[in-house]
Amino acid sequence: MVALINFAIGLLLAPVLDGIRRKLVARLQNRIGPPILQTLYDIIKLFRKETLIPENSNYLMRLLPPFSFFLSLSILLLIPTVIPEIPIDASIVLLLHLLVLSAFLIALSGSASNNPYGIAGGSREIVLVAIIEPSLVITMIVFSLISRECIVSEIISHYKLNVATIFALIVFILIMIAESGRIPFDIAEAESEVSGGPTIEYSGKLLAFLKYSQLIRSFALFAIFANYIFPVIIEVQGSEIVAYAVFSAFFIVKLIICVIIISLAEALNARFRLFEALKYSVVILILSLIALTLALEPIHFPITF
Amino acid sequence: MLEYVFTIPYSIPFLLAFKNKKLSCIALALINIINIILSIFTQNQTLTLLLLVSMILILTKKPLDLSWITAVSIGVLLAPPEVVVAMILLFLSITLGLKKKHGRFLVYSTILVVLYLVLSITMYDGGIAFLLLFLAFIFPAHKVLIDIYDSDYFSYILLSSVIILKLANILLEHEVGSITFSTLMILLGIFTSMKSKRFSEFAYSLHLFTIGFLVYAVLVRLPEAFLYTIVSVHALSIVIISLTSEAIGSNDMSDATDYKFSSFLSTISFITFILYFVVVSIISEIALEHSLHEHIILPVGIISIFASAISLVFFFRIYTFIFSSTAEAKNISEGILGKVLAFPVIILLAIVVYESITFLSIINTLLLMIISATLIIGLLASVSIKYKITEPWLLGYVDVKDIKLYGEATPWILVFSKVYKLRIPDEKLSKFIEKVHPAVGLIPLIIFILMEVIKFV
Repeated sequence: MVALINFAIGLLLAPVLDGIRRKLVARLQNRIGPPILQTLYDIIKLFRKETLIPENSNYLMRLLPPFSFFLSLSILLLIPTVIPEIPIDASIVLLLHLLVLSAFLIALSGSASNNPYGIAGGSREIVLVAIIEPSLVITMIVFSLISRECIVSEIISHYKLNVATIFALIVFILIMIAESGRIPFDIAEAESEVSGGPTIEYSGKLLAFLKYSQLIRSFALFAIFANYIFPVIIEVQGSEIVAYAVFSAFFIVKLIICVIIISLAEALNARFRLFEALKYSVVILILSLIALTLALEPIHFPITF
Repeated sequence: MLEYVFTIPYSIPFLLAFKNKKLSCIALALINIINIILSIFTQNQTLTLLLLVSMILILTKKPLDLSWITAVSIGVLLAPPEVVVAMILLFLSITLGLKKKHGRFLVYSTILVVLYLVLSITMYDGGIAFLLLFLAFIFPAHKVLIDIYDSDYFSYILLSSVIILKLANILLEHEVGSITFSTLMILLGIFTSMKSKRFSEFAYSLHLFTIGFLVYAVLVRLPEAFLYTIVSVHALSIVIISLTSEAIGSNDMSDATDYKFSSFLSTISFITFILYFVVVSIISEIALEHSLHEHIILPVGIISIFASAISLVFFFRIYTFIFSSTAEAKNISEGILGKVLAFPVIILLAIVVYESITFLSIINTLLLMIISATLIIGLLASVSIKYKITEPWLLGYVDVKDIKLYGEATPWILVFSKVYKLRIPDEKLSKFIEKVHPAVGLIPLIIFILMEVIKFV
């Protein structure tokens, strides 16, 4: 039941949040912008469109978009979303692997089209994965280290707000911006350089799956921010329903905060070049290592020289 | 003693290598699988790791010299450290006599011997400090291995390297050293793989990566059966790379764009590399749990997770030459090996699932289950989508091959150019040592033997 709720929330909120982002960016740039539900309409429209496949592509072009979509969806099984329960209470390692694998499949699906720009875009995506994911791994492990637990629910229940977690929180926000795939990090899809990169040859249902999987992955990161990186809510006395309602309200507010951050980054920056992204990644790597060092403090190392 | 029994069947692929290299590879894969099943009942042994590492090194190069190397390698691996040191010194002297460019090999093997002697003479327990320095700052393992691959005396250098590996392992008893060693191997493997343009380079980077993870696996006390699984998955990956190279008839990876794999072979390749990822992810999780609960070095867990995540880079590289082909590309002929490959892949798949359930936590099984379930649902969804084949959206004025080459390798090299530009000041030292007369190389051997005799008396 919880799994179904998470899936439903993910499927619904992911495009809606993207719609809010588009609206916010437009307003920040003095434009009216599309309706909030525009992304949802776009996806529905794409699902009804004809699917075209280039003749020199291989079967992975058809397999990878739905595979990455369902894999991105499966991330929602491992984290709490709108209610404080987790469908499958698994290890943080599993969550990390699914996050990385879903990003990788999106990059790979671009290369599957066999279009040179698709491959170039896929390659850019891989470089981004390679430079951003280490910081993501370290940041999420910081919480595991503080709680000395590997299981997600245990980590959340032993959550402590201290200097290390504040550092990790800042790093995660920076990672979210980088992982959003939006300006300034739309390097892989850069229209003016690689004409859409990974999505160049996709159309119809396959494009819908690809776009939807990107949105759901972003939503999963927002949910991780809301309920893993910063799982703070105000305790309210009352029945379970009231507690759930408060939790949901806080969840939505945190999601909106995430969207505002992404929108501001998009509206206030131009697209980074790959080298600038590397510099950015070095900064967040250093910050994440600081967070890790702060979290390491209470550990006793039984090493003797 | 049981692990020694397991090593005996390995002589079969080596003997087969005289006749047919492909047959030898298949035999090796099958023996690995049999050993996995048998070794479920045995304990984890460092010796097995060494043997496995030597198997990996031996697997892909000049099979004709392999039988005697195997015999001597196994003997050396069972020998006491003193014999190993003496053999290295002897090999150093022979290397000088070969008058070939093995300078770097000489430099690092000399350093290792000196380090061993200093540590054993001073009886200093904190030798790990030296070792860390050695591994972290002045030991470019990849350079030594490249020398091995490019060498005209491959079998000789290979044998020497097996012996050096044995000595390195004696020095690597402390966990910190092992972590540094394996991390270096993994990182070097990743960076080399992304800039490799030849199949042999790519296979070698895979070697580095696997060796690194094998050391991790020993460090976190994984069952021996699991070590065999890692090696078997690795061996299959190497077979696929070799097969591709042979089918194309070129060592240049960019030539792969002129050919295309059959869907059967590409499926087998894809499953093999998914297995690779799952195996690596299992190690990383065990490493994290181990480091959290045993209160040992935490970075081991973090580094291994990072490495397993980045291991996807290998997928990308393998993908770009296995799956990317142009419309006018020719079909690669599968041959017997391609058809036989399915058998070990299916058995390995079953074994990895079995091991996930039996030896390891439920979490790893979940990873496999989620990947399998989403893959099946994705497959069903993709089959149900009706599509129309059209002309590809191509530019027409840019050479496709050039863009593909640019797309797959160049950004990585440019972005990480600073890493690739790192130079270790060993060139001058190598050139100097190369000029030394071979007879000079015998002096330390004589001194060492005399010391041992005095110690014995």
